[in-house]
Amino acid sequence: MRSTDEVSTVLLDLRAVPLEKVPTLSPAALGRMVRRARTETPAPAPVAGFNSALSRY
Amino acid sequence: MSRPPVPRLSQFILKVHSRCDLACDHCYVYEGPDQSWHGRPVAMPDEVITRTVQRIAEYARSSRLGTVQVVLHGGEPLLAGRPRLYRIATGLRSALRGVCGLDLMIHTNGVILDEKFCEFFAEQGIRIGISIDGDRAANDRHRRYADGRSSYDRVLRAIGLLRTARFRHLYAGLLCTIDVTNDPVRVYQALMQLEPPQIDFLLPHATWDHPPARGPGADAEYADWLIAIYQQWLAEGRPAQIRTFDSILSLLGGGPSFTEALGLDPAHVLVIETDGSYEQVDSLKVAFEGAPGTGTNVFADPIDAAARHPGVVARQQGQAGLGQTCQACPVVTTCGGGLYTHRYRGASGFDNPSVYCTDLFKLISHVSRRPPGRPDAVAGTPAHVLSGPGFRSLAGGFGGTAALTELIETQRSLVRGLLGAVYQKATNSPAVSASVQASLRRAWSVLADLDRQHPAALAATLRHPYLRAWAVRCLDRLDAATAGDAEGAGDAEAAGDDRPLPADLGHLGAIAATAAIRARAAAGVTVPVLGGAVHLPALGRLVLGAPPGRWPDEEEPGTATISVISNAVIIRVGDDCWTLGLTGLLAGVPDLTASPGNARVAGWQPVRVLSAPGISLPLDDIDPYRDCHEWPVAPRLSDTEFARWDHTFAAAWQLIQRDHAAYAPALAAGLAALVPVGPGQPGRDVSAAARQAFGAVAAARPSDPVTLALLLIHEFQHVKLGAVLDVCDLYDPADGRFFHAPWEDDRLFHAPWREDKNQLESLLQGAYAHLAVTDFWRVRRQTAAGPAASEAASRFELCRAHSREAIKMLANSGSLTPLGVAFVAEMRHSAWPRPERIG
Repeated sequence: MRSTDEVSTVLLDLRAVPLEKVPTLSPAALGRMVRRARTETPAPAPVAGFNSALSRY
Repeated sequence: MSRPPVPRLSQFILKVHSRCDLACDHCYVYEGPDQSWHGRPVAMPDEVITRTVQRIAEYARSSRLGTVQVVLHGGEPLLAGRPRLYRIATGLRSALRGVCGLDLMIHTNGVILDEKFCEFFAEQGIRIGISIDGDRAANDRHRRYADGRSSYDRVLRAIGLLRTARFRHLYAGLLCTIDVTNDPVRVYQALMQLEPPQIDFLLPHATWDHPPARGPGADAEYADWLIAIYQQWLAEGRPAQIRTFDSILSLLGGGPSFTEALGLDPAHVLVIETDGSYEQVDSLKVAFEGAPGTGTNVFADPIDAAARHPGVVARQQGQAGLGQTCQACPVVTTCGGGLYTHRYRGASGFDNPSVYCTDLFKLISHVSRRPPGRPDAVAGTPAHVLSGPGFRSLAGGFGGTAALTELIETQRSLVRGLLGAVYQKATNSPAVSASVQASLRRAWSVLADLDRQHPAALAATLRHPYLRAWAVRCLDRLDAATAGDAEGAGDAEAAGDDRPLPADLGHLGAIAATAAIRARAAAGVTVPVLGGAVHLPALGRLVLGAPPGRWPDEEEPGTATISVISNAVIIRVGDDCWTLGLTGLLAGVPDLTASPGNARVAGWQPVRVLSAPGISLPLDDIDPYRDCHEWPVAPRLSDTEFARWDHTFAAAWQLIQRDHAAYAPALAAGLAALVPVGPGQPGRDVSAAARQAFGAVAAARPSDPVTLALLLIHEFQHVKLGAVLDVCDLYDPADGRFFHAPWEDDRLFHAPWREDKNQLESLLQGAYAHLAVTDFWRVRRQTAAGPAASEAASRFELCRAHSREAIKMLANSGSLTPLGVAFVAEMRHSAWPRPERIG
């Protein structure tokens, strides 16, 4: 955590980047964002016998 | 003088095939002084496999190793064939079961890597590294067939397979041998376009007797080459792991090295040749004939015998094992004398600095003077930051309106990035026709105009949870198409539909139309007809009836056009046309007018909204991309069923506001859609959240509002944590990707609510959900009466015990980043409220 009481993130802030410019970001920067967006929380196999959504992780 | 310790080896390179289908002129196996490959079996025989597996298991047991890494290598290991690789993989797993974990990899040139190999590796949990030297020109400088043909297209196809959704988890990284005559930044960019999780830039193997190629007067051009890439890598926010740079940065900070080419850590590698010989690191083949040999083998000797070989022991001595020049060097702890092989000189053996000494000194000095700053500075574009109070509030299990707004804003960036990536990839893909690309350009132009002139309308549109799921699906299918998978048909079939790729891509037009409608801005786009309907995400769909007289096998029109004019939306399908009043459409009560002479009928189905004091929540039972949850989505609800939902939701929301008020602000700010799913088994409540659908909760309608309140609170915990994980590394991703196989037990955790073991992120998700569920039952045991109160009390005790145990496991995992430690500390504060807090 930073001393200014802010938390740095790994995500580019694209709000101020004109949308038409987004595809021209470097392939690396765009690729990193895409990899992040594609990430799924690992889904374990369903457990037989549990009766609650709570058991799924 | 004490005897040096026996080295603890943990990485075994198995030479499963001693020949190669390429004839790269920089190969250290075939082009160096050691030509021992001539006399070895072409492929590792079964008796060698059996003995090798036994030896590794025997050594792992006696050395009490937690994990061994086995790399299937060559020559070209794929030439060994799937049956032989199967025997090795299953033999290792069987022998090491109950002994230690196994991280199994293969390193290949990729030219014959096909889908069948990938399916086999997926079954066996074998990660894949591929050699490629950059773009076509750079790669073909050395990596060619014996007849001079290029290997580039075949390698690219193999990497394309690893980039598809099916096999991405197997993609370990790329290995690039440096040639300083190639442009470094072009090489870097060509490799980064392949989206590798890791890149290894290798100095060409050389010795003082056979020094590396250098230009006249140049003394550190390998450093200059790497420094150019380092600067680019930093400027782009270190988008992939680069082992050389990560190791230098780690070593400079007092951490470990990730390569034996740097640092003073003892070497831990042993090579086993196709004839069963134990050998030292195989790069020694460039030193002299027989240099890697140990005189031991799997039939006669345990691995300990090879580990005691003087050549292996010599690489365990740390700084004391280096020559005087190195010992006096200011960067010795980072450099470590470089790769052992590179120190060789015929007259003095290995007691020399590296032949790359000037390069290593310059590179390490440069990196130490220019460490990474903020991780995400890309050409002046800053990274998102979260406020400290908001982060702590979320970490404690809650998160108010401000904290959720910050998460919403990060998702907005994420979706903007995804839209740009889909557009960029589709309009540059040979698998997408010119006419589809033209439609995409029109839609993109509309979106870009709206971004300039009506940013709020676009932002509201991009909040729809299923845009991210749509974009990820498109990218997966485009990757599959690039890999030659017939327009990504495989992925579509796996997803349970036969929607063609152009229809998926065309949804960009529907997104643009929705944004234009929200902005009340004139626009015209082409959109797909999906499942007999024209969709406007988050607004509704026009369901088309069949035209009278149509033959059953006559094809439906594939596209429609949507025009947004002053106060109306005109949808045209073939020769038929309908008009929707714009104001009514935005209010959810549109008036639909069919043009005279239409051949078919159509009806508008709006996205209906659940409402209760303080919240309006779209119930989305029509979005074509909503089926991304754990459970199959329900079809469009009848008005009666919607009314039941509305009634149950209103009561549930009242309960949340009254009894669980700490969760209400986050829900009100962040909940963007409720998606009905099919009912579960009798007595089982069904609900889900999806990482790629921020703000959406899917559920089957429970029988009572108390259960719905619990499901909403529970699932929204996953929504919040998923969004935090999208932007913050709470645990060390290297744990799962590079140093430990995620399917191996030693990096799995036994959540107290499950009988099997799971990955750290699953444990974190479960613990975070349990925090809120515990809190729910804590309140409920006091507000309920009779048996319901007793049941709530017992559930509270169980959930509290589970969440506390899980939080302790997380805190003790050793895998959390400093930010993760801070996050889990806040979870701990919530799980042990004062004055019960543990020490």
